[in-house]
Amino acid sequence: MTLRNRLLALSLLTLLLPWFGWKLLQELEGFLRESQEIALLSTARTLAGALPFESQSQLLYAPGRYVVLRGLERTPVLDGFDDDWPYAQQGLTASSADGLLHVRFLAGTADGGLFVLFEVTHAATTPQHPVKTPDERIELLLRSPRGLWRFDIRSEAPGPLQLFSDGGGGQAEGYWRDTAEGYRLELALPAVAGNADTGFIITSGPSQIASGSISGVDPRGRVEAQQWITLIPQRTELSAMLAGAVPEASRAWLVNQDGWVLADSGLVAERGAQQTTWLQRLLYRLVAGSRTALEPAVTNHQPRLQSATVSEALAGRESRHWSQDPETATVHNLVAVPVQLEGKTRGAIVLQSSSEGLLLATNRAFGRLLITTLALTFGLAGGMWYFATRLSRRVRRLSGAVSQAMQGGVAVGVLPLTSDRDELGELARNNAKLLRAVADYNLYLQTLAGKLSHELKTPLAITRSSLDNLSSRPLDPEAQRFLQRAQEGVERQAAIVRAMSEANRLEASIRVAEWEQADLVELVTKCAGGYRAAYPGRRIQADVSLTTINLRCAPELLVQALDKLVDNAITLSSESDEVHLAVRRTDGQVHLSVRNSGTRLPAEFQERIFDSLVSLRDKRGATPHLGLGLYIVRLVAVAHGGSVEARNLPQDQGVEFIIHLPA
Amino acid sequence: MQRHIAIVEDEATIRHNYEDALRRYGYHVSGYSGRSDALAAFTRRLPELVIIDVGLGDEPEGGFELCRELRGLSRSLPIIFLTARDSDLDVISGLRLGADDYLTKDISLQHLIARVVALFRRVEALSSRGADDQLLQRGPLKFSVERMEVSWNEQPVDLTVTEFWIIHSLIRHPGHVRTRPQLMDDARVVVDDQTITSHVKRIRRKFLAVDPGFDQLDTVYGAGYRWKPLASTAEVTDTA
Repeated sequence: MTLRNRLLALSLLTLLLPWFGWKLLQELEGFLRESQEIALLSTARTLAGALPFESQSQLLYAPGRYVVLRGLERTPVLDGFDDDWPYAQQGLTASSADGLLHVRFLAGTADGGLFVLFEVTHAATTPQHPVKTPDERIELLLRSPRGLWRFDIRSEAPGPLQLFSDGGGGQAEGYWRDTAEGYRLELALPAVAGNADTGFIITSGPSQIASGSISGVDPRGRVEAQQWITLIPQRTELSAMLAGAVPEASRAWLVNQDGWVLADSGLVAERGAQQTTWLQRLLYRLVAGSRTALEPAVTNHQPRLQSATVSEALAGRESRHWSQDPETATVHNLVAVPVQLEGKTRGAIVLQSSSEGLLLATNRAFGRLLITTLALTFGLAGGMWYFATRLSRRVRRLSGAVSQAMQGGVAVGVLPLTSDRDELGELARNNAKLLRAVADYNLYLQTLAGKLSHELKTPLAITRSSLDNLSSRPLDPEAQRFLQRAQEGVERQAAIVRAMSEANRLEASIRVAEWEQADLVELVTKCAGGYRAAYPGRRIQADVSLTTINLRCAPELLVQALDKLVDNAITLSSESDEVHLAVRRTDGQVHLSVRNSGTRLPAEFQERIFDSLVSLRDKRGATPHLGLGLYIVRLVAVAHGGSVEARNLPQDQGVEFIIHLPA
Repeated sequence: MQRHIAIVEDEATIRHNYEDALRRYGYHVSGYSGRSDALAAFTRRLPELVIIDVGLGDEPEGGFELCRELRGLSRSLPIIFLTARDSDLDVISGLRLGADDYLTKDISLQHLIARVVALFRRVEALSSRGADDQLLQRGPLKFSVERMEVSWNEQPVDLTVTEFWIIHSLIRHPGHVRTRPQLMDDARVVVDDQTITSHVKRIRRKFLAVDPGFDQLDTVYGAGYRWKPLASTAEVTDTA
């Protein structure tokens, strides 16, 4: 992992900041919701304990069968369709004993009138086999303070109907519409004042549905039905009371034991989702999550509440639920408190608050916090990354320069960052110091041989001149022998000293070398001729393909380098091996090479072979060999701005030394 | 008459050895260890030949300084530099100051004496002009072995003793390549190839100074040098 990636990872720790903020907000949100629920619950409890007497009795003396007259907002159009009835599917249902005939019965009040809807279906009906019989018939009874009315309705023809009750007194309008599976009858009756009951018998062929177990019709208007369906009106005065008691933006319902709405505080003001942006909704969902399942929100004119929360309350336990509309981010808080009358749960007060306002305030604060901290985090991370990138780039630059300086490519003085004031600058300065010390040391090592030879020359001269003086005296044969040996030793010593100072002298002669435009092809050809003369019996070839390669160089120095390489090749190979001199030109470079067969370079020598005092030859020859030859070759190449290379030829064909010169 | 040689050398052992050798050969030798006492003695009486070490005691260039001062006293006094130093730069500065020869300390005593004798011979030849002489002629080159004089197109070329012997070695067999070791032997110097190269270079420059068209001294790469015979002129005309 690079430095900057590490710092980047480190800076990601600041992501903890928004995370903590998120956690805090979740807690805050939970606390707020809690307190709201408690407020709602206490309101509901108060309402449950202070129900007006009529409501209490309505709950206490609940009839066995009843239909809550729903307050219809719009007067239904008498057309036999149920689409202008809200919650048309929630109604009283009954079936015939043989299970072939079903009815759904709806009743409601609107505009002072009473509306009922019968939806009759034949279970076995398929479009291919209609079971409809010609004598479809509904008998409807309605008992109210205004009297007892009986309507006998038959399907003579579908369409609008004008009905009169038996014996007059009641009249109604209706519409009969045949459907695919049966028919639908929609009726408008005069308003019933006060309590009313109803009963009906629906006949279709052999099947019959009776709302009571037995119902009979007395010709004189007396009707006996053992089980009437009570029509329970919604309590408008109670609704007003509820509306007054509930907090703002909340709604209250009084439901009976079956969950039918007896009173409703009113409409919930529809809040537009446009108040919240998608980002806020997203953020809110992040905070609140969907920790409870969304119960369908109670909508306007819902005739019956059947959610789990309400059922819980109707079972005698207070319950609460909160849910969040994923689309609008509106939070619905629903509490249900049972209404206990005479020791039994008779119904429930349900309160719902749609608490956008409060929680969205949190939401906005959270949004700001989150966005701010996120921006800070990414800004910080970006800053860190930039800083780390700069830092690592500087470190890389420094380390690159140092390693280049170690390879001798760059002068120590030009190390980057040395003028910087921070720790890296100090590191660079220390590196420069170190490199300078190393360079000094290297220089010392390189010049050591030369200096040493200079220092050795004087004592050598002393020994030699003394021996010379001695040799001019008459000596006995034995002394003569010793003298000769001593002189041989001194000769060898002198040769060593000369070899040691050779590199130094060469460096000096490089400084005064004559640079001229020379033809290297001619030079190599001439040299090869010279070497053939100098090493008779050896096969020395000049491989030149070009006719001329002109280069500005110091030919004397190049010849000297070639001398060393050829001398080396001759020494390393045997009498029968060939030595090849070659010169060739590639892009921007001229390559002078000396190749010989018969030897290999030891692998460990390839790097150091051109250093001073490293010798390849392991056998001690007659002349001392200190391995300065190849060092001199390198000096010559470097003086020309070039380099040297030694390599083994493939398939053990020998060794090749190459001087690369910039053209 | 005994010739008088002065040796200025700070290393007493070497000085004594050289003194002994030269005395044995029959010279009168005085040794000096420093520049000041040498100079004091020289102002009283000049020797006939001076051998000077370049580095004298605390003065690394004291020999050069002494040479300059000696040249002020006498234009013709033969001076030989003898030193442990051997860089081209030292050789050049030594010779530029008017030294007649430049020898390194690894020379053997026999060689040293040979150089001294050669130098004396030259001085003698200069003073006894007209004596019979072995004269070599190679085209425009006239070469007097006895007087150690060389001229090109009748113009004298001022050569040091080493240079003189190098030319002598080359022109004895014109057209033949003389290797550096051969030249070293002929010039009776024990130096390395590099020094021979710089000697040859200097000889060439001296000839070029009198004749910009000079092209007789040929480098044979990888082998050595040769004297290119002039095609138009008659070959070897030795006159005894």
